[in-house]
Amino acid sequence: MLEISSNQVYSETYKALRSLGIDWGIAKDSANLCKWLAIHNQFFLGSILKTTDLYKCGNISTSVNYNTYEKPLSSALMGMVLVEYVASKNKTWEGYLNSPKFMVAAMALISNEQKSYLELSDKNHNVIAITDKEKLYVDLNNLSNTNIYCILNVTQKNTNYNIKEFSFSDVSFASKVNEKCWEKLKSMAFDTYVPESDASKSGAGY
Amino acid sequence: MGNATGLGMAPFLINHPELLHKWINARETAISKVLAIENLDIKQQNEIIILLNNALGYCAQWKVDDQNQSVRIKNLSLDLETIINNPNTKKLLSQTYPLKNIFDFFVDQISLETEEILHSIFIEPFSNIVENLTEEMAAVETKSVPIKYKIKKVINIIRQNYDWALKVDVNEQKENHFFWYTSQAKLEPRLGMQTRDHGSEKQLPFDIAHQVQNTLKLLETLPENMTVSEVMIKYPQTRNIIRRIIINDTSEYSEIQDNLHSDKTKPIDILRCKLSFFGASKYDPKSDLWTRITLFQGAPLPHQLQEKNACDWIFPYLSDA
Repeated sequence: MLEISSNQVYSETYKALRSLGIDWGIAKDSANLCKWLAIHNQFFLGSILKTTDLYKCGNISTSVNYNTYEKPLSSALMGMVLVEYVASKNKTWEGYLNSPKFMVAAMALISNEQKSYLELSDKNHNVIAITDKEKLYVDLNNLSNTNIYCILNVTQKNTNYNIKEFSFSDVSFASKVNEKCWEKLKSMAFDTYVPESDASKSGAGY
Repeated sequence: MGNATGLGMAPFLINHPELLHKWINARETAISKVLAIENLDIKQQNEIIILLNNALGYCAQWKVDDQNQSVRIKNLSLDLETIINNPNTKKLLSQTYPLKNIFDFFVDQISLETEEILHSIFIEPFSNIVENLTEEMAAVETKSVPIKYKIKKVINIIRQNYDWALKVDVNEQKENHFFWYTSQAKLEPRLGMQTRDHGSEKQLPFDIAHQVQNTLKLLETLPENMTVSEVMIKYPQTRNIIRRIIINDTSEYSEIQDNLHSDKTKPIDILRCKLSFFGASKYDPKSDLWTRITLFQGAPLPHQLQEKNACDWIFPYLSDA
């Protein structure tokens, strides 16, 4: 296992996603979600690599309107924009999500910054996660990592939560990751670098 | 203590708009606070005169190879001599709003270098007024885009705050001369030339003027009551720039107001700005891309900290040189 910093998580992730041609803003969002998961001691690396594989094969969707079990919406890529969209329009969104823990991370980030009340539940309306401004209620360890049908909506403040409050006290700005997986992410990030020309080195204190 | 600084610092300012705003805002607030001082006592007036003379001595020992900077330093010295020798200087110092009036009196006659030295001179004696601004120089960088914004508001922000970007003719070759990228060998930012270097397809998103213009064109085709969240869901390529524009709504100093792809781009100016916030002095440019600087010249050593004038080390110079 390799120890890396949360800033490395952010910078390598967004570059790796950029290497696939994903837009800058979306790549940075995903990187922030990975960083959030890493800081809160959640596995993220395998999931983000899986996301890149699925993206390359066209097996995940980036459309909030068109998603299926076989081609679910990527919460790693679209989590932030979707949560903001639902919160801004006070709408309900339903659909198939890939790797919902990224959606939970997005809910937590956005609720904390914008003081929102959001609810994520499954197709049977069992609540998966709730945010109450800075607070988050979720059991991340029991969150499915497969494609699931989810409902995301703005909710009313409710003090009667049946889910455990997520503890933000156990944070770590260094994460242990699988070395092979990390090298894979870094090699993707490397594709965004350019071999510098001799002329561009000139006068650059090289 | 010397240091050499290259291009790496330039993308930092572009990638941290909220922080840039905090730094510049602190500086601008400090300057406006000292210019608003109504009266100076005799001790304070003398202090300004001493600082002007110290600055002159300091400039005499500021030697660089770069021809342009040498000329600027020479003009700076001449300006300082003019200010020191002008009988109005002492007169204005004894009147109301002394610092503002000195600045206004000389501003049309002096260079930009001199203006900045005067700002430093005016701020230096008044730590009681400006020191608390240091507590406002950190930024909490938001990850999300505020949900309350609609297209109409964003268009207004662009028209009011991004006038500089809208004036750029993005179709002109000279405005598409450079591109920024990260180098393979050292993982450092580099400046490539569109007509000479490969790799522009991997460029960093620093063509802010271009992005603003493209985004404005798109937004003008959409209903003005649409939320930006809807825009970004439908057009994810706008997310990066819309975030920047919304940041600028409440952080007016968040943008470097120039086209960083233009043939006139001199990264050295960006470097100097950032380095000045670290207390860098004796700016010594070696090219348009890197510079040497000095840090902590004249700063007290640990055993000198208890001395009476330990904090008076701005504009140090060797008096017998």
